[in-house]
Amino acid sequence: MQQIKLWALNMDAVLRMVILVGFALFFFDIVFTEKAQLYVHPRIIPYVKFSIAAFIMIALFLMGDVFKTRRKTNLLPYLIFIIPLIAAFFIPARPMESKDISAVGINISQKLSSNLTAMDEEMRPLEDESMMAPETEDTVEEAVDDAKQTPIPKPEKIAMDEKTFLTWLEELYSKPEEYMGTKIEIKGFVFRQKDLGKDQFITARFMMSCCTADAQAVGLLCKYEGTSKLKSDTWLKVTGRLGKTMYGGQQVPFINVEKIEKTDKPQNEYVYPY
Amino acid sequence: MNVKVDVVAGFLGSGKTTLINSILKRRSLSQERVVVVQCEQGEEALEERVLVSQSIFCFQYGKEKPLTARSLADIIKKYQPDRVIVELNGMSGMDEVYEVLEDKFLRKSCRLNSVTCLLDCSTFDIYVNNLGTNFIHQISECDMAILNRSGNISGEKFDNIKRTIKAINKSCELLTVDTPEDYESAVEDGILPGIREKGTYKIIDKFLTVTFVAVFGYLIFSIYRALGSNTLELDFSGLQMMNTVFASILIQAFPFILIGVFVSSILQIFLKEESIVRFFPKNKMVSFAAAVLSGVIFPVCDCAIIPVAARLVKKGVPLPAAVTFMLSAPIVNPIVIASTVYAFPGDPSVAFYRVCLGLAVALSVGLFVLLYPERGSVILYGLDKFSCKCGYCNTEEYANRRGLRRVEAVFKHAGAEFFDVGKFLIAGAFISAMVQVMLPKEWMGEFSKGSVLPLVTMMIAAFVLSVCSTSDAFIARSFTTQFSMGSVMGFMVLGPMIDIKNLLMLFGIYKKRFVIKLVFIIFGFSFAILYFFSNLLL
Repeated sequence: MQQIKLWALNMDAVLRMVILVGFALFFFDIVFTEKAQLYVHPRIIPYVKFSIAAFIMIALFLMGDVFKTRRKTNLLPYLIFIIPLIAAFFIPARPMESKDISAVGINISQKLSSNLTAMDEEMRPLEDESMMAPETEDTVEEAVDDAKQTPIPKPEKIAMDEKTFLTWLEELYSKPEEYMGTKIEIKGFVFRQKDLGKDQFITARFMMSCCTADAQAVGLLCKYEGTSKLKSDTWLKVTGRLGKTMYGGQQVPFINVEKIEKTDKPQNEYVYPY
Repeated sequence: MNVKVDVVAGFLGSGKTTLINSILKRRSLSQERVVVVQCEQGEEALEERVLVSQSIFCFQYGKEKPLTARSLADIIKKYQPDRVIVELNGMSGMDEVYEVLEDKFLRKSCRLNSVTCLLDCSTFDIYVNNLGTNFIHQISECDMAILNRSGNISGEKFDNIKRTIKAINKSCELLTVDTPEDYESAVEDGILPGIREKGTYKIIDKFLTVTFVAVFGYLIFSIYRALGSNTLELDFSGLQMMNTVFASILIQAFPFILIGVFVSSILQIFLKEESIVRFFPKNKMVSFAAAVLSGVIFPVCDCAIIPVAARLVKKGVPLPAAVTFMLSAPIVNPIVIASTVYAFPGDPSVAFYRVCLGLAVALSVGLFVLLYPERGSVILYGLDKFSCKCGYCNTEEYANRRGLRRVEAVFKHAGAEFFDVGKFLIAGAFISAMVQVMLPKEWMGEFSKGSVLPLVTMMIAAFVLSVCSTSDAFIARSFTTQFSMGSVMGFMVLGPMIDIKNLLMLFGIYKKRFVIKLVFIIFGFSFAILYFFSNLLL
């Protein structure tokens, strides 16, 4: 008798355990290899850890049921769980590219403002006396909290890197006139949009407010003679001076490009607000 | 040795023995050796003609002499049958049979071939309402349910019975006969499971097929990948992107759905229904306030609320208040509010508006039901017994458990609910990821223009996606890139109140007419209130 007596096992419990442990493993994998940041905002990660614990606990409690026979097993509902699980393991996460959203376009002005003004309101109560321009790495952490308050002492040169990208973006969009002529250095990828002029492109980064599903490109308009030679999605370090122009019926800041350098993709392409 | 075990279950007088007689008559034509194990002495006896046959042996068990694994094993060793037919009383649970068959020897030598459940239509209601769990368990485990004496009841009642059985056991076959004597012809036709071999290996077959398809698919996929882009320009990046978006929605929604099922399980296990009912005063107006408040105090999400609300109506809570509770609880639920705040960081007003608008709609619908009351009962009968399909709450013993056993029950119940609810979330996330990545964005743009169309689009999306309210804010968040806040609010207000998965549940509990009416009122009020909100207040 070599036949497997499947009915002697509770297939329901077995499948449930497999799925729960599977999800726990997948979550574990993304949390500890830091792939999780390609999927969700870092602030979700503690909740993901909670899920791992919950999945494992439920699976442990189910263990007792595995040998309790129950004949009726409808596979279909479990397939719904297994498919995303297999997909999650075999199809690696891919960072966004501009073509994924190019059609919708970056609503550089409106969307960003509405997003960041909301943050503005929340941040205000955290008023702090010691304010510094987000210039050096050391002050960056504080800067994220404090940069919203007015007035920021006008720095000689604005450097927009991972941590200061959104803070500065909001600041520049809210008062473009104040920074006219200021030197700026920005890192981002080349993003093109139909309604831009021939000598215009956007140095953009993807902003993830919550998860990949809501990622959107945000960035600064650039004016550069050699725009046509730039390839979309290449990462650049752009240096130039700020000006302002009309775009989409609004005053927006733009960079008069002085120097363009190719640069490597940063390890994490997303920037996270809040 | 491979002994087939057929179980025939049913109450006294449901015609089990008659059925077995019919099977045996037919069986005796073939060359099988059959052992009949009767766990009950009924009115009918096995026919003489059957018993004198050389290959049929009959054994009787009862209260004083329960069927044990040992005695069954002895019988099998002694008589070497091809088939054992177990006649099981309706009062005893399937678990008794399973326990016996789990014996080491029996596990090797037998396989459960079929379970047939005999139901007497004229007494079905009484049994379902009073005998509860074992009876329901028998139905949930059977391959075929035979409804007899169908001639004795009205057509509507009969439909209700059928629906009830389908609600308990989706995959069983139904056979209707007028009198137990009709079995013979049914058996002759080869309809009964005793005749037709229904393999229990079906499960593994299906599983193998699925695995095979998956492996084969992956093989083709890797070949394509290996051939590279020069031979076949296949662009997987879209698929990859979709999967990333899909997984990201799941990753952030799962924690909240888990919190939701844990809270609901704790309520289910630790809180008696009576305490919820006592919460509702008899005064109609005051009960509205209670309905809204109780949503905060008993945090259930939209996936679990419908059976709870139905239970309330049955326990005497006025229908308008119960409807208000059903619609508002999934929105004022603290977990839902928390997840909304999380999904829209830095913008707590979103959560605030969501709660206010949700309450406005819930109260309006409740008032409407109060002002235009329904005639007669709106609830289909007797469904509260198995409102929880998790299979753990069905057994009354769980309610009496203490301490650690209760904790165990909470976890098991949470697990069951996670699987019950999670599939709708996964399907919702999948459709939403597909819409985001695959659909041309210009197309979406068309729907997001104006003030009426985007709101209607979002409301329909909420209805179709059926995402649990504890996590729908995250999906709603992803729409804000294309839709205005007012229409996204439509998604978040309507979604918890009514969607496909809830509609399916509503139809299982309430009368059709009432459900359709309710859906229209909810849609109408939501649209009116949200339209007013997005045009005048935003």
